[in-house]
Amino acid sequence: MLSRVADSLYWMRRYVERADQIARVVRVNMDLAFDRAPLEVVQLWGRLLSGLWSAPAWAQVTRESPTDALSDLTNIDAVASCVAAARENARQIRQHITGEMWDRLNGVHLALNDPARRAEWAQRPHGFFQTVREAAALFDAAIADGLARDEAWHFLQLGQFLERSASTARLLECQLRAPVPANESDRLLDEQLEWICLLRACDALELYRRRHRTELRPDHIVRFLIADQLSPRSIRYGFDRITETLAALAEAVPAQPAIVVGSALTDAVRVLEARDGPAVEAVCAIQGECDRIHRMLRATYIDHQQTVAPVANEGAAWITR
Amino acid sequence: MSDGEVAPAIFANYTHGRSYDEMFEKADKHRPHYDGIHHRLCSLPLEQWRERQHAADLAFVTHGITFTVYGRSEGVERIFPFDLLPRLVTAAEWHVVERGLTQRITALNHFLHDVYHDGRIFAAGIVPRRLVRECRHFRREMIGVSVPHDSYLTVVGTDLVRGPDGRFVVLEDNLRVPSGVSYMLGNRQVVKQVYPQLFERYHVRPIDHYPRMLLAHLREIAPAGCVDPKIVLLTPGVFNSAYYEHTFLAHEMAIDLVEGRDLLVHDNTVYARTTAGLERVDVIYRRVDDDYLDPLTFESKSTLGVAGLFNAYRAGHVTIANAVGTGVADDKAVYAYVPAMIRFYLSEDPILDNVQTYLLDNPADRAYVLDHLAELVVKPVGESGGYGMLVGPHSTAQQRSEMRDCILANPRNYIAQPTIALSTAPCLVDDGVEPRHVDLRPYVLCGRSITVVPGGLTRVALQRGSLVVNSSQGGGSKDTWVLGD
Repeated sequence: MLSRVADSLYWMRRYVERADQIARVVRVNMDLAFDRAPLEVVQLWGRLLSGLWSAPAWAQVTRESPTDALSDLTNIDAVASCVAAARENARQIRQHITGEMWDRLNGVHLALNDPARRAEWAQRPHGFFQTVREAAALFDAAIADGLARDEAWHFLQLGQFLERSASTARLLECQLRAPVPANESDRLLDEQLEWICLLRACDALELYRRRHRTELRPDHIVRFLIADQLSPRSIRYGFDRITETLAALAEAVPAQPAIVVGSALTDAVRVLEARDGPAVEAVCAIQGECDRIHRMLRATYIDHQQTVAPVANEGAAWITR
Repeated sequence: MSDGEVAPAIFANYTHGRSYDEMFEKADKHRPHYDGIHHRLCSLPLEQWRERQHAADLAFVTHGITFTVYGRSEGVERIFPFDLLPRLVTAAEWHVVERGLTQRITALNHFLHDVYHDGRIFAAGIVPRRLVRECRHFRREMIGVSVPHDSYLTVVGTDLVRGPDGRFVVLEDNLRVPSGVSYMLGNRQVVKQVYPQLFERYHVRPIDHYPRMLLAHLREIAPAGCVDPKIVLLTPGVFNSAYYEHTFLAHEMAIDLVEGRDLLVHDNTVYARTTAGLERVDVIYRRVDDDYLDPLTFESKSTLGVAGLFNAYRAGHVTIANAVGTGVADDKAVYAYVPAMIRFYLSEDPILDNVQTYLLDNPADRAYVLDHLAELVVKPVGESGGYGMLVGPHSTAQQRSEMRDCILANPRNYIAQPTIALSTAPCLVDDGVEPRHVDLRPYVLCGRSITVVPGGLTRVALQRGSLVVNSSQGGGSKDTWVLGD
């Protein structure tokens, strides 16, 4: 397979995952915003979006026009531009994806740029989130049922789970770094709300409830999001898929050296279980590992350099193409 | 409808001028092979035609069958406007076209070999050597270079028009990187999808095998000794106006669609960068102009090509199709000599005629043309896509005066032709069916043999009365049905 094609498959899938992720985070926070005072809302947006959006973009989000920042195609961090980027990648590799996959991406791209739909969404934003969610789900279904489990599929898997793992880790980091309100009674209620919010942002609230019944404890939630083996939204689940896929890829392309997943995740799990050290550092290390795998992938299959030194996660710059 | 019967309302605005009309022999009589279409037009309410036309437009949008328009805002994707009513060509008419194109392309291929080798046609005084040497698309680097089976032309799209007498004549030869074949195939698919009943009374010759035929011809011209050639399609990239077509053809042929950055040359051998490392490439079906193929040999600022590609080509390690330098034979001034080439190389009379052509570096021709600009069509010799041309009868005094200055500044760069009353074909418009001017671009594939694909792209000038059919100038297209015997 052409390196450029592998690259485009990978990015296409990453951008779809990212569009879905951003839409979900914004939706959750719009819901939550109605329960909060306006000043707090801005802080909240700032906290939960800082990992996903660059600061100037979220700073413009206000309660009055929360959808403006979303529907603006010139804002490179908005959902529409993620979809546009995914579609642009897809357009360059149409022979490697199915017609169904293209139709889904093209359809949502056209919808996001349709003035009538935008006007409607300005009034009823949930239609927007629904559109993105459904398109992402149908795109996934088209991949799951339409493609052979060959090299192309491996790059799609890696795009999906690297993006998902990294963004879950990032959202967790933001929540763990959140300042604790001074007032004790507010604190409990706020915390509850925000942790629920985090689970919903990761599309994991229902998964969590089934695994842990009604008990909503921050330490459980952190452990669940990082280490739960059976829930497809946990980082461990994502890393298991990444590990499998890297092995399958090494088998499919024997000419290249295999990429081995590092110990960041197992270290994090150990820290959590032994309560030995701050969780936030472990979460940062996971993001660093996602970044390293991303770079190794490029070096091995795309740019053809043999090795890349692991890099520390500094300031968590959002990876874009 | 028989003679004398009143035309149904759908034809209320159907005007009959001096152009040959594809459907109507006379105002009240349609040609026999249009029976089926005419019957449908008379029996199906206009509203339903509109619905089907709408469904067709939608099919193009949802399939992303688009082209990119240059010169407006960067990279605007559009659909190529499509008219649902097919254009019909009878078996007898096609027989002439097929023989004529085979003859013409055989001669052009001989000419290309001759230009870059012995120059017999110059020595015989048939074509002036100077004319060819001054041609913008002449490639000095190709002199003495051998190409597999002496096959320079792999894909040709020749533009034909029908004059008032109904005969097809050749308007221009496209011998470099002709495009549009995906629309030919897409149009057929869409008509089948939205109005299958139209086919009921017809035996339409199939065209769907085009990609397989192309692949077969590309295999034929692989470098000598290459058993299972690796074939790729080289595209300038996603911003090219024909990008959709490139992806479509690569997909249909199941070959890699590569950009210049996907290839590299090492030891005069071309390789593709793949996830498994470097893979040798044997045949490149290029959709990139000569100028941009290799920055070391041609345009040095080009980022579309591959450094060292031409050397690998000259060494015979890779085939490039169409060959480098074919543009010298579709120069619009060289075009005037094609009938003479046919007589010279094949000792045959041309089956398809040229349009009368004035060469503007000939003083007598130039004087005539400058006096008659308002009646003639003037075209730059090395352009395609309808860019930079003047249609005299539809031009303003200022446009003519500008063209006059251009001609006087560089006469070799222009030719002029009489304005041809292109034939008209029925098209669906807002309130019925009206005639619009059309041309025909059949596609011809060559390798060791020549295949004329039974069909082609019928381009339509969608503005009432307009004679310009190019997609880049607001033209549309129709499905083209070549009827079986």
